[in-house]
Amino acid sequence: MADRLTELAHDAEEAAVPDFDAVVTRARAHRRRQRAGIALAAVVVVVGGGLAAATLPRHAESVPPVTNHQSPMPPSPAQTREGRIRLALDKGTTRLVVATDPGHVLIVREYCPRSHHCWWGSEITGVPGSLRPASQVRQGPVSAGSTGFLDGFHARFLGLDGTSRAIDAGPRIPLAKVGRPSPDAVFEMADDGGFTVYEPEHHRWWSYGLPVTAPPIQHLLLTDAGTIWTEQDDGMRPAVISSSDDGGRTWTHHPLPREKSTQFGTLLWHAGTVGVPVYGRDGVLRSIQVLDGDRWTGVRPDGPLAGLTGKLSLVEGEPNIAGLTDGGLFVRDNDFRVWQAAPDSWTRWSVVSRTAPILALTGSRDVLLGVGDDHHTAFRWTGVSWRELG
Amino acid sequence: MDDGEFVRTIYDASYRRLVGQLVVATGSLAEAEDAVQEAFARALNHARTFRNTDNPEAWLRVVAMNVARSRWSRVKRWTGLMPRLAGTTSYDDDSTPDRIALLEALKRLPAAQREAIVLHHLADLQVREIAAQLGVPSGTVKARLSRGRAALAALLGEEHSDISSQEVHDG
Repeated sequence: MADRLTELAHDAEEAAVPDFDAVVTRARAHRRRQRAGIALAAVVVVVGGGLAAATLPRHAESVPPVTNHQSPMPPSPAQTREGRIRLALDKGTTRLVVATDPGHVLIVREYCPRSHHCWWGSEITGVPGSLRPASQVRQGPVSAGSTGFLDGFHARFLGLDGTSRAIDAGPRIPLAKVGRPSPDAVFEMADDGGFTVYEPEHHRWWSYGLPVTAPPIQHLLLTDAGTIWTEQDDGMRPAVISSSDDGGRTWTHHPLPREKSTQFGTLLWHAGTVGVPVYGRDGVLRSIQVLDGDRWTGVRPDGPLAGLTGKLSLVEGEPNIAGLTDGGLFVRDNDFRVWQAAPDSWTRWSVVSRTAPILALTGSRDVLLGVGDDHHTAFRWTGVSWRELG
Repeated sequence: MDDGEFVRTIYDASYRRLVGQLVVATGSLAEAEDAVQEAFARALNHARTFRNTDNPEAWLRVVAMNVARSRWSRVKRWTGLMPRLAGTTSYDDDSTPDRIALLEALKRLPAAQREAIVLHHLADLQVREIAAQLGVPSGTVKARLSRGRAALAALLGEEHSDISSQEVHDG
């Protein structure tokens, strides 16, 4: 396999090299378009602002202050308030945008190759302009992972030199071993096979060791009752879902049948058991399997889910299906519609809105937040309970 | 050497290699050439910044992949609206069936898996370096590599013999 790829690359390298003047011409064209675009943008902002004021639903007026700077979006469902926020970032290149649960946004901006500025902001209240610099990280590290929690976020940065450092919004306490996860905790996987739990109530961090497994653990889920769920797969063998009630000391394995083992998006929590979205090798959603006792069964194929199946693809690894903190579910289909399902039944779906392409999504009981793939625009839906829409 | 000359020097040294890598990332020579030229055009427009990078070729590769990725997203949206126009790729007359099969198989992989394969097998980056470049955890990179190779082997009807995680160099 590797030889064939290398051969393909080498053959491509034999193609004629275009004259450098073609690149120069292209660069000049970019500069001309950029200058024209700046002039046009000034007109669009003025005109677009007027259009937005005329077309936004009345209840959206209470969403403070919203700037509609892109093309108009299709109408939203009547009960959903929707707003867009122009993030107060206008320089540099966005390196990473993470919408973290439960409603925080972490944005890492690259100002120049030799220094990185990290910005973060809370979006629970939806106050635009609340983003502020959290710290400056030098020597070119990039984020290796982040976790949001109620009063801030924790982000790990990994440098090419192997060094890592973390920034967070609250006090950070050295890791300690404990025997059982605490409810109301946030966790993240570590590269060494363990995972880390943050306990917001006490601002404590805990470290858990997990067995080194083959296939590797790809996803983790920690329930309020303290049960750890893991998903192991390598794309070849049937995936294994395992659970532990005692902090990782003993495990019960729940292998998925081979015909249900293709690709997996994440682990979901539903009605007291675990759920797994199953994708085909083509990256298209086939079903959502839930563990019923010791059997895996598909979510009932009636209702809108039947219409969704086959329309959800794993697009460039972007999150398009995720569990909400209350057990509900939201997904974004290939047409960039955002759907949500009530916590008690994943067979009752409602279209929340149709959006522009979204880079990242997160949500809580009554707030859904997305970050547009222009890396500048945040989308927010507030003022309605997910349950009311179910 | 002024900034423009610096970009040109890198162009002469790195263009072919980058196109080779982007062909695997995109499954198309035309898309690869276009993305790489676009990356050099942006380097020209940000020549001062580009000159200060530690690794210009890595900078160009990231930009080219971003260009290819965003175009892929747009094409995907377009083909979603116009399904009958999708999949009408033309190939060079001298493309062998084997080569066409490989390109078609690459196109069917998720872009993230293709990128991981390129960065690991062609750019010789270690998992940790790929994770840092893409801004994802190492575990995600390993999974993309593993799944990408498995899917590629399945699409090509090959025995997948190089899947073991031990062959993924953690660095």
